[in-house]
Amino acid sequence: MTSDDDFIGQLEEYLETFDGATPLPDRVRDEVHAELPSTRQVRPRPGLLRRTDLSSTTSMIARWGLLAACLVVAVALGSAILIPGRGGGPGAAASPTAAPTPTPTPSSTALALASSAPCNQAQPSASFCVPPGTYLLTPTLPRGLVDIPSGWFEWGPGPGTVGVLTQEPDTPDGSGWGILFMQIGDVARDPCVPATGTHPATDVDTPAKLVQVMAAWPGFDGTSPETITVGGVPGVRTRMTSTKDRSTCATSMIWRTSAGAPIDGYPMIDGGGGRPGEGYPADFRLIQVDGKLVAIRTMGSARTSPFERSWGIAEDPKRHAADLVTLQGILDSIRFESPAP
Amino acid sequence: MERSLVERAMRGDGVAFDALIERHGDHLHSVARRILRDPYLAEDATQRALLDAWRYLPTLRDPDRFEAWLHRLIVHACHAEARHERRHRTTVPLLAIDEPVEMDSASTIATRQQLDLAFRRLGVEHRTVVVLIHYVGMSAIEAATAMGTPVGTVRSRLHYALKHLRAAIEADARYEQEVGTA
Repeated sequence: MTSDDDFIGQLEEYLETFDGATPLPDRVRDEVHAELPSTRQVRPRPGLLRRTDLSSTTSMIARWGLLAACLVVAVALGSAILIPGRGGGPGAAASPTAAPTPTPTPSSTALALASSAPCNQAQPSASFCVPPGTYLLTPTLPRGLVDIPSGWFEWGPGPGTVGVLTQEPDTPDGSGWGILFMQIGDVARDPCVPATGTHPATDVDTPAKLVQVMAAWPGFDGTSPETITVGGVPGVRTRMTSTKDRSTCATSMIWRTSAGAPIDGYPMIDGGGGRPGEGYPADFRLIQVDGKLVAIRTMGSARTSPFERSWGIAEDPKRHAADLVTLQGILDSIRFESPAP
Repeated sequence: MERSLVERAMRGDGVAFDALIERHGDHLHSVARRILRDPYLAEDATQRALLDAWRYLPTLRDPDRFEAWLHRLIVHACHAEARHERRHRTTVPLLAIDEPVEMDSASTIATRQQLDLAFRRLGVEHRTVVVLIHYVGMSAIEAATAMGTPVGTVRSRLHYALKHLRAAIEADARYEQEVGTA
């Protein structure tokens, strides 16, 4: 097995040399040159809806989201003014105190579309964390809401997932430590042997069935399922470890999300550099909301994560002790919007 | 100098834009070749990106960010070409080639051929993030800007791309060793 440095060095050398020199072909240069006179340049439009240039980090979805939010606010303001007895418009009854509202407001943002904020004061270049606040977890966790504190950034390995990880001052590129929400699709029979296939999602459609399948994974150990609730929704919790490592489970997949993204066995079988049998625990909370089976995976230890060790961070059994407390707060904050009428 | 050329091109100066093509064309084409792994698609993507650059240059808010903006255009053009290609190739998986590869018998260091094979097996989004970070030299944040995705998505794609590259190479190595000792 090659070391990470060797591997990255080989990869970069491969990319650098590639197919030799690949200059811009004359054909392309000539065709661009020929088309310029007939290609009109787009002039920026004045006003609020001026076309945003492509260097903006804001995605098109986020821009439409912003527009939608503006419309929602405009409609809400209009309703407050026009409908007597609602809100703070001219016809509203005076209220001595503004009662806090526990339910989400229209301004709650989907976590996957969160904007960026500084992660911590010690690392000015890390400005990719989500601003602290309440975020929607839909569509991964239907109607789900969660409170995210400062110092965490959004992360998900593919469609059907959303989550947050901590950003530590001594790592340049994330921590690999946090919480991940996944909407479950097909589930592996053996996460380390793809040839054994998967259980169809229709066969594993409840927390009880899923935890049963997980308990049967070869080379994995799960604690007895514990009955829990998440935001008032009943479910089960199990803590999984594995005796496998990358030499015995090079390409793991525990399941696919409902959107088809493969989910690997991190952190259970990734020894952060190929150490055998690290046994890093992962906690799984399994719930069902609106007929969708959702797994909430959290890191089950305060230890230095496998991802951090792969960056050369020393083993420290208490590295994430404070994060564990914060993580519990995140879990406790999960709640659900009322179902649509 | 560069800023002056960009500002002139923004005002419709074709000569200035030609000068910008001379400066950046080779690099854009190199990036496209590595992301798409197909010379014809890469040419089309580069042409598309350069024409988009001309068309939308007046909307660029900061001329000093011209190069970063070009990277975003070439990534967008590459992904558009890849999508177009997928729609027109229904039986042959894009860029998937499976054949035995040579293994460096003196060590477990991956040969160039193994890397090439493993790199071809990646999806276009994963190749993009590998190229932007390990060829262009971008940070994750810069790559996120170029790809128009959250930084977390870039990190996860890079993590999985490297993991899959290593796994594919190691699987090939085991296969070669098993075949060699059989």
